[in-house]
Amino acid sequence: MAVKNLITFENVGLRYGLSPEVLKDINFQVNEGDFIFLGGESGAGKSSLLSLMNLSIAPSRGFLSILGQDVQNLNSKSIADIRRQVGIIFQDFRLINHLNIFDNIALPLIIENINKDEIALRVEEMLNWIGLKDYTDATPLSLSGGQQQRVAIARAIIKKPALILADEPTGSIDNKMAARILLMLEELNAQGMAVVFATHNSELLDGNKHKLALIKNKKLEVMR
Amino acid sequence: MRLNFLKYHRDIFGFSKIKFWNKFFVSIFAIIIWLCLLSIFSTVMLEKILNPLKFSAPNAAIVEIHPENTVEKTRMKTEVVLDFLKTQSYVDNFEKLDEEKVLSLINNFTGQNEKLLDIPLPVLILVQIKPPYEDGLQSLKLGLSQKVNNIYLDTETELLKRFLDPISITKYISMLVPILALVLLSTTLFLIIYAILFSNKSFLNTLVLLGIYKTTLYKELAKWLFVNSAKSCFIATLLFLITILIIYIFKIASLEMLFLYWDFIIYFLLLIPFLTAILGVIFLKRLTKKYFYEE
Repeated sequence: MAVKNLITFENVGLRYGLSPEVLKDINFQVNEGDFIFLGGESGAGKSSLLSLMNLSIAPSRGFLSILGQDVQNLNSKSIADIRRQVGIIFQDFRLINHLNIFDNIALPLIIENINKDEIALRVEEMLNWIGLKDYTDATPLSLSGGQQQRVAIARAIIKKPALILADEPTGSIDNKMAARILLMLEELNAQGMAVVFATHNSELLDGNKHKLALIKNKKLEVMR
Repeated sequence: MRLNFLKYHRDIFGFSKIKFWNKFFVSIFAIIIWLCLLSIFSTVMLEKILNPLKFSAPNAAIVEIHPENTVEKTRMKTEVVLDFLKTQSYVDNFEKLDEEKVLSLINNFTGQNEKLLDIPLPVLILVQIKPPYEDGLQSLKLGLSQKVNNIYLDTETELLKRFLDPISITKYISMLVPILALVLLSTTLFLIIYAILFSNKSFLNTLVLLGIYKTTLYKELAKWLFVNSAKSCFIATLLFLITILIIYIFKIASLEMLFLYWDFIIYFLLLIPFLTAILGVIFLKRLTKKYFYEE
């Protein structure tokens, strides 16, 4: 059975305005079921690469397709449609502080107008999975960094996306919690979701067998 | 398991944090709308002040026959006009002014005390017109222009108009106030939406990255604007009624005329929420295009 291609970069370059290119000649693919670490020093361009993948910015040159669609031909509705099929996890969690944990996790479902019973069922399942079922009514600010990141992961995967983009998801939490977050993402990957995990944490990069792509001198090199 | 769906929508799209914005928006809009209503009221009052002047205008006109080459020609022309006036139903009565009266009128105008040599006097006929005055005047103008040439009709209305012109300017200025208020409303609206978007930029960006459609944002903002501007209208109406009550109690002005314009005021108040919602979406489109979707 052929492996489905989720993201394709062909000679992609990226520059902001008139500044020099921050990414050059990126040739890279993310396929169904992949778990890819995206490494590189701080400021190397990992977040820019992820921004290209989540369609926050468009490439300056080259060909980029996300979930089979050429990004040059997308309108704002198509962009939103693609984003609905991708789970995004941020280093700073990006939880909505004036909503409780339940509502934060439910957010992607409510945006899609899923019915209330379905939402309740799926959020409950997520809360059990991340071990925060007693925190339903808590607000994000009352949680620790690790707990907030678990909520962010639950929000990203509640729709069971084919692709998860994680931008330094362990950057704001301690090593023990980072290991737990990694385990959670590996579990999701085992269920068939592709994961792109951007980090500059060398311990994480060295201590596992997953694919590794490093950004060096504005270019992406696949290391294993 | 709890899911407070309505609360969610209110919290997310009430652009809350944002209770502040609700109160701010409603307060500012209520004050501006109240000022609009006051300006409409003052315009109506001004109209009321002007109306008695219009009604008290004498229903009269002066037919001025310019002298011809010969006295005989002027006399014949005058006869034609007098005969014409006799037969018109809208003419109440008329009087050919004698030379002395004409001279006195001309001297009033020129500042001379004696008849200027070699300058023949025009013939002046004072015509009283039956009501409705405007209709009669129009018929008189038309009839005279068809009968004879070289006749000038000086009317009391025109004199009154000259007198009223400066007041009309005041009236137009007071009509400008609602227009300026609408401009102020639009500007305030733009700035409020701008401020809401920027104070919630991270939150809205998160929604955008989770795949919210632009149209959803527009719809929710339009709803929010509609509800809050309706609240503003309600508060402004209350303020306006209190103002009217004060005017009534202290007899600052008569309210009689205002009741004639209630329909206009109601349409104005009904229009505001729709206008706010439409303008708000236009502004939001501009701002989201610039700051949220095409970074």
